[in-house]
Amino acid sequence: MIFYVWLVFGFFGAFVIVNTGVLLLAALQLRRYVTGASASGLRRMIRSPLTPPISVLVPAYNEAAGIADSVRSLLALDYPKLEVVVINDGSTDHTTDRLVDVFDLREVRRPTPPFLPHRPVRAIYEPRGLLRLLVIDKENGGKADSLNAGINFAAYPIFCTIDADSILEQDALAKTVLPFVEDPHKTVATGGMVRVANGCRIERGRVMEAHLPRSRVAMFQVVEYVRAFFGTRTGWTALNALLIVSGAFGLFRRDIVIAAGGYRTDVVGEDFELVVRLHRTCRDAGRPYRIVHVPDPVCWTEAPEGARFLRRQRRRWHRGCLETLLIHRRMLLNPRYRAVGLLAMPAMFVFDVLGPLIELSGYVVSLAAFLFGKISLVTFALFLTVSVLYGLFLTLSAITLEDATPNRHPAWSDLGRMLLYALGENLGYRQVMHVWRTEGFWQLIRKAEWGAMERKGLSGPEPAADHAAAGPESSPR
Amino acid sequence: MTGVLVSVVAWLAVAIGLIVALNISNRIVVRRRELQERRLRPRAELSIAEYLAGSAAAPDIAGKGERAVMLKVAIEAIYDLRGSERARLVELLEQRGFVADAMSGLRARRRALRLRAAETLAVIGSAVAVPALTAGLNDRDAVVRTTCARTLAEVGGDDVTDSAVAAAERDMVAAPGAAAAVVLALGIGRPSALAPLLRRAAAPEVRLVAIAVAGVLRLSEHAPLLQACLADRDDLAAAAARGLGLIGEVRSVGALMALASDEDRGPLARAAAVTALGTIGDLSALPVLESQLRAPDWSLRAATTEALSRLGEPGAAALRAAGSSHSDPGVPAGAASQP
Amino acid sequence: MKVLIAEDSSTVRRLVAARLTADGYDVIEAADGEAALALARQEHPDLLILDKVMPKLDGFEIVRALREDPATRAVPIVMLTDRTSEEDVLGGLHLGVEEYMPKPFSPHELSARVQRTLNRAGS
Repeated sequence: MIFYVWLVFGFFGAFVIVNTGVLLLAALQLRRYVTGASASGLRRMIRSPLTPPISVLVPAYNEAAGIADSVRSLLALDYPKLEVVVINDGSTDHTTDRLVDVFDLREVRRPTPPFLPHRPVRAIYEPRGLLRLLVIDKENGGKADSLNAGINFAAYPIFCTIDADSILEQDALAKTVLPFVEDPHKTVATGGMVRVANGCRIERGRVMEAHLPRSRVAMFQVVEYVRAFFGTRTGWTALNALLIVSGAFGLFRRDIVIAAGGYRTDVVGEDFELVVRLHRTCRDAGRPYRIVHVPDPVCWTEAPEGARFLRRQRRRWHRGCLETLLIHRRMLLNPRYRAVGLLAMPAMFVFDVLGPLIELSGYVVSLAAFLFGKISLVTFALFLTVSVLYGLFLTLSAITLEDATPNRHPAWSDLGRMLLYALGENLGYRQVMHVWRTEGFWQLIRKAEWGAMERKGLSGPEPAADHAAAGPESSPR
Repeated sequence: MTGVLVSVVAWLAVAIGLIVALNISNRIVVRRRELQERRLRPRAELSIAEYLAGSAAAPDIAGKGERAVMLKVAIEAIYDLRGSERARLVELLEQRGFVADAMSGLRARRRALRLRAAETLAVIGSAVAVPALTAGLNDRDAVVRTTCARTLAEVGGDDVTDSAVAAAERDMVAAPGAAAAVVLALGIGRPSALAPLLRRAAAPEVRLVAIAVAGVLRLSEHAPLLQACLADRDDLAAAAARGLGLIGEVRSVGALMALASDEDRGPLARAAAVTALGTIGDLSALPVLESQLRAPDWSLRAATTEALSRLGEPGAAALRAAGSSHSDPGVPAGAASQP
Repeated sequence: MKVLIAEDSSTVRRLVAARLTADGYDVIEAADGEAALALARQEHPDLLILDKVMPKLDGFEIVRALREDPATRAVPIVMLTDRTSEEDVLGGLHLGVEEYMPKPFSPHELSARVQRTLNRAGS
């Protein structure tokens, strides 16, 4: 019993130290970013002939409805040179036909480059005109498989992964490529911020007006995302220990990813696994590198609004998280991998994997202790209060940091809603997330039964709102 | 126990209160600044626009807020302007003391201020600032140094070119992107100054950037130096080949052919040479390209196929002949990627 | 002669407007793509100056929309933009853009091109 109490206290203590530390680093990193960023600098980069061209890879499964708009808005991005590569992952609707129609494509015969393995390509389509668009029609193999095909055919040294129904802001690509321009040799991958699109006015694949969502479930996720991106990812970047570059919006050096073996098709969280593997291969090769989260650029994505879909998503994320940590368990607490192995991965294991279990059991045990008269009501209440308040502190700090990024003009009413939901997030939402994550944990344990179900296309039985296998990692509390 | 918990709760409550207060005060400050700018901006834009159009006299700017907004608007305008209007606006900024302000800003204690001043001078591009910029070459911060060097490359006289070149070399490892921007500025403003950076004596990182700049800007005067780089290590050779292709240097076709067929060189350099031969379009390269259709490396074969498809009918004929006798994934049957 | 300028940078918009007003044109300003299209249909300008990269609606999409509408099909369009790669220019010309003015630009020169384009369209 005493051991258990010490465990919980130790956990909470470590949690506070690590999270507060990461938060402080995030503040410093953000300040460095804001002082360095300038509007004329960005325009200069966009006009510079030295700016690297980018291949935007869009894996698509049954996206006939919105794919034309997505592609068009990608081609219209404010970036000097880019190509869009759509990988049709064996859709059963007319995704390819729609593209051929809208963009006047014709079938060409091109050999499949042999760099990464993937399911066979059925056809390749190119435009008759001058558009930089390529459509790969291949057999169904899942998102990772599609990305590998896209990487094979990509013409440019940097590729961008994006979900078919995500929307990039005009300058998002330029802002996210900046670290590559600043240091072309060291920079291996960068990621931008993902925001919840529910509630925004969207037309023809563009966000016309940004609004906070009406739905409660979506609002909670807004708060969650802010804490994950501004509290966590920005902070870990400062230590070059960023573990997650969201599959919904990330840029990678093509040659490095090919050398590392591309995406693994046998894991649930392929984007998370790739980033961890990039850390590993770069360190193993003794190659100086950095993986950077850029706080400013925005990719809009639909967040699941129904509890059922959200639950499915979180269970999947958690499975992916644990699976990757197990695969790369050699890196845990291994000084060879510096901050990634010594700090970030153990922190993720303790707080994101064990954390939900410890916290939930903490509630149960302290409730039991109170009911059995071991601790007073006051102590029990204080215990709960501390837990809620610390989570609130982290969330509010992240919200404050987000407000410090340039060009955000939130209304006062928005701030009010955010604060309210920040409170609510810590008073129930997070606890529910813990339950679902634990469920994900159990699912992984029973993996054999689930394995077959997962490989059914990108989203399979799940709705399109279920992407980015690894989402923002929310701290357990 | 209870006491400890109570004090922890109290501390957390205080911390939360401070954060919320910080957030709110931050928003108020930002909001006030925005409102001020929204109020002052239209007037600033109008007065600059009318001054440049010749319909009004030079604007009189007093007040710190007005000056800040005026500078911001002027920078935006200068960035998109060219020709006589741009020169007039720069002159206006010089007369009203903005350039002098930025010059003294370069000596500020805080890095953020020096950075902003350097960037301002870089956009304005006023020759008046040369002394301050030259002093800025010795700044503690690499980005400030390289921004000053970039500006000197554009507006400085011949006497400062060497310092700019030296700055690019010195900071290529610490701030590669910024130093590359200096090399680009040299290539645009003083192309002949790139020569020392292309020679063997220069460090490979600098040479790589200089080669890329020479190619991208199509500086044919440097073609001989680029050709000399073909004999160097593979990444430099590949960049040089790319550059020669962009320039369209027919005189280097022989050297490119030699590189393409040299089996001791890596596939990266050889593929780049092949691509360049396709871009230049000289038919004397045909035999070499045909032989590379059977190269062991896939990228090389693919590059050769692409290059041949750009050599018109003779290239297409070569592809057809190869396609009929090979079932190689690197050589699509019948030169299929031809339009 | 009525000219519509669609440009999201208010500074550039004001510069062009002042220059054209000084040269005797009637200038209408639009700050984003949607407003530009609406004003073009409403005001029937004699010429449009468009940037390619604009919030809400792309320059090319505006040109396409205008060319599809019989009321606005014949309006001459000048593209004022820093997107000057081969695809951008050829893509625009293919859609029916009369003139390309790359940024950085000279308002003087822009005005001269506007005059020339209007003369050509008039004859």
